[in-house]
Amino acid sequence: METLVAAVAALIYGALCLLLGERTPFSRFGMYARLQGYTQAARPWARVEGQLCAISALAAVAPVDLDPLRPGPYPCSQTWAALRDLRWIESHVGPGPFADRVELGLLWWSVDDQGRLCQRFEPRCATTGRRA
Amino acid sequence: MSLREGLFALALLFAGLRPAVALRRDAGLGAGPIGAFIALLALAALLFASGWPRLGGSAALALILLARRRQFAAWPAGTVERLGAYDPAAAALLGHLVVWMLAPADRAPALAWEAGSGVVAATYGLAALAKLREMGLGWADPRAHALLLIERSGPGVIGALRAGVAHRPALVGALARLALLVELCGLLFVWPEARPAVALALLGLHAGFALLYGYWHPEWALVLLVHALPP
Repeated sequence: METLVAAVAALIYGALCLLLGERTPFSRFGMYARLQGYTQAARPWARVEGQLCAISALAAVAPVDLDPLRPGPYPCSQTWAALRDLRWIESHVGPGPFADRVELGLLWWSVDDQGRLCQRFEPRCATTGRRA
Repeated sequence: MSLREGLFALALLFAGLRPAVALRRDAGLGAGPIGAFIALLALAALLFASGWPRLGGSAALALILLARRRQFAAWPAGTVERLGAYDPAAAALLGHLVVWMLAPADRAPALAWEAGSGVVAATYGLAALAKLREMGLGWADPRAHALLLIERSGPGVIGALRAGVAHRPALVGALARLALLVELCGLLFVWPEARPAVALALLGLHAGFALLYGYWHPEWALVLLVHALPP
């Protein structure tokens, strides 16, 4: 009887999840299920006076247009982290200008057919700021 | 209050804390409303574990879903849902509550845990099914997984570990195949005798997620644990 109840609950919940999709507490639990063609990834990153640093390492930045960094047009499995990076910048905008030259851009990773990984920084906008 | 009722109450608290913390951080919701929400949820969870499972459970479920709705509304439509907003404690609780409503009163307590266990089994089965539907066994190809890992590398020991694994395609592929297999085995959670072993394997899977991907949700571990514990 116990196993039957558990099995029926699993079937009903599973069927409702497939039917309803992402309506919590129902879900298809499809996180990272779709990885086809995932050979590149990018995330907002900063270069301060020529040195790469994470966005959260910025203590202040002068006003800058963040549209080129918004997730969506570039591949990123950490969209959450990218959105939070942008919110971090928005909440640390100061009147400026600051002493350091800051480039905001994307840190790209790619993987080739042999599984080799490589990394490059692509600046997308420039401003001034300072590190924490 | 039994150990598993107490631990499940804790899981419900974690389930509500996650969207509450997100609302505080991402939507700037004040400490007052957040504190009131946590207090109400703690009270509901306590009621659930203290002999009022229907009242406490219904209230806890309503509060968790309310917090999730507010969290969804704080971002552009569909953002949170698309990125994976999973509520295993709320899902298992829903199974409990349905059985509490339908089963004879004397059998409801035991059968509610069985329904919860069935829901837990389904969550892992669905996760495996989603991968197999999208990509079949090719999901375990190491290239995309290596990329996911290198994205999460960085300074520190754990970052170096992720980078080290990412540069070993054979290891990455083996880990991906193992993860898929363990998720599929999650379906065996419907079988009471298999639960301790399956829970152990799934806890190992979550430990791997935490170490390599940085996703640590105590709620998942607690939900697994309480449904694997003997009555």
